[in-house]
Amino acid sequence: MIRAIAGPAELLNKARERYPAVFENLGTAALWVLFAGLLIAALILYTQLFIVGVIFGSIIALGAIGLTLIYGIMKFAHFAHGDMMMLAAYLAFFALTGRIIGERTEVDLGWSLDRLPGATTGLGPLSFGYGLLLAMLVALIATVALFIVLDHLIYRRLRRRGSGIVIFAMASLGIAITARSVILMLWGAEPRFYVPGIHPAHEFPFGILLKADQIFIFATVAIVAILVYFLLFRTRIGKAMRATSDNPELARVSGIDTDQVITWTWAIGGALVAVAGVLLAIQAQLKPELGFTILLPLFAAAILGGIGSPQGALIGAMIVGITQEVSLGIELSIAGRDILPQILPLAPGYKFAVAFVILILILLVRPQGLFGAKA
Amino acid sequence: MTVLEAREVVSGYGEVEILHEVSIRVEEEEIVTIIGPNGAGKSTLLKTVFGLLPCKRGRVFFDGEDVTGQSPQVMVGKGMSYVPQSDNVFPTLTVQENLEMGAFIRRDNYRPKMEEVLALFPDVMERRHTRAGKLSGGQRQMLALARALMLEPRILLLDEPSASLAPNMVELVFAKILDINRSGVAIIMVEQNARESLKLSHRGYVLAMGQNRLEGSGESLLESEEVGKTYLGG
Repeated sequence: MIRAIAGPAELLNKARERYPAVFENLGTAALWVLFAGLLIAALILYTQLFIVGVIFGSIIALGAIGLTLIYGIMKFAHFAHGDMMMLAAYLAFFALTGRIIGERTEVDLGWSLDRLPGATTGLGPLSFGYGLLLAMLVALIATVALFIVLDHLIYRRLRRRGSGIVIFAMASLGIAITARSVILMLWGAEPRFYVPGIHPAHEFPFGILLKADQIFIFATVAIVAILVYFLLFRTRIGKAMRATSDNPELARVSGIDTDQVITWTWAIGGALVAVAGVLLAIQAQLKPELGFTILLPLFAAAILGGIGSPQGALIGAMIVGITQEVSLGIELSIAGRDILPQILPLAPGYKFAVAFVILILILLVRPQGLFGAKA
Repeated sequence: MTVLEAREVVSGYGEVEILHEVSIRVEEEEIVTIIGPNGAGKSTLLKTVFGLLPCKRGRVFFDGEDVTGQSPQVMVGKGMSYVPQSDNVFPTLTVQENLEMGAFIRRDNYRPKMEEVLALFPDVMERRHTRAGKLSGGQRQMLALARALMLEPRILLLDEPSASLAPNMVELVFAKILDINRSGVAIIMVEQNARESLKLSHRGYVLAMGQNRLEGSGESLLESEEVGKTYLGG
């Protein structure tokens, strides 16, 4: 009797040992089918949430691509990514309004982008004018400069010293906390908006409601993603970045200037962080702790796609974004009674926990991610 | 004229000293093989000469110029190319991109050189838009050699070019090495496959315990009783 029960398990284990590739591929295939099925179901059943998820996913994508590039080339988890997104968003706020309005500080530069003629008049149906676009550019330049300076001040020294990845990760965590504190100190804990007020949504076919700003967000991400693709696959420095990510030792041996590659990686990461941060603040709001909250979806997206793979980060971000939004709307009723609230209280606050569940699932089934090469 | 010379080089990993005053030299258009038991310091020697490991004592000369302690990037610029034993291609880059990375420091038009190098390796050329990770072991080794040739080096440093290859591929790789050498590139290689590599080498060195043990022409080493017993399997 006992033999009969042990039989199948034993057989399964033997088969797993003998055909590891089959099991590996089965697991991956199952994962793909699961995600594809979930996404299709979500699209049909919760179209509105699906579309909002795509918008949110596209913001995550910009951050996750930067995160995965930094990991690929420097091999450490850049924990400051989320907080840097928020810092960039606040820098854009500062450039736009010229104001620092913290608990103790009260500064008004007296000159800012929104005082340019017509800078706040909405561009077409958008809620903001060209002033915010200029502010985004200022934030982008400032963030790129900040990333390069931080590399020279901190990470480069750690590299020269041959520090382990844990030290790098801790250093970035320190920078994250510093960035958040600076935001709190200068602009306070209260949420802020680039353009206060309620912005109406427009109705599209299939009953989808979207704000013009959300379409702007998606279009911006699409353009930036194409630029990043072009850079990585068509330019000399982009190819060198991919080569360094593949095999840093061989890159050095081939004569690739890895210091230059690292500087470029920070620059691109910084530019992506700045755009992602401003878009996040347009979609949600400016809030000091939002940067830390967004970190989990960023990592979930990067790991889901296969850390080091920019295409993977893009698709991973979409899956994470859509799953997060759709999970809020799931209703399950038996005999007319809505049972889900009892077993799964998915209040909006739990949204980010969904990213965590995805992260655990992927680490269990396919740690190298959907697009990652086997380590 | 001597292209490369290592003079009483002392080196190792961290505190561990592996090479104790090893000296070698490579003349222009020569093939030189270094053989020796595992742990003799053969690969360490190549890495030290190329600047991947610090040279604690002794000197390295390239074309008569002292290049001791220079970085690999400087070495590559001077005309030295190195092919590691394993992981010697960029797996997610295409064949062509791998060659472009080999030419990274070239500011001139490297296209003609790329065509020339590809012509030397016909089966790799057929797959120039394939990711290097999808190539067979032998094709990868060819690509690694091709990558190293992109800068038109004066000397190639090869770490076990025939390691983990099928016997017919070993023959092919050695034939290519001979071709490369005939085009005027000096070669220094570390090999486990002592008999085959000594056959095509002008000269050879035997290292043991991080020291020079024997030195001579390829033929004389093949005929030497000690080499025969210890390294050629009887």
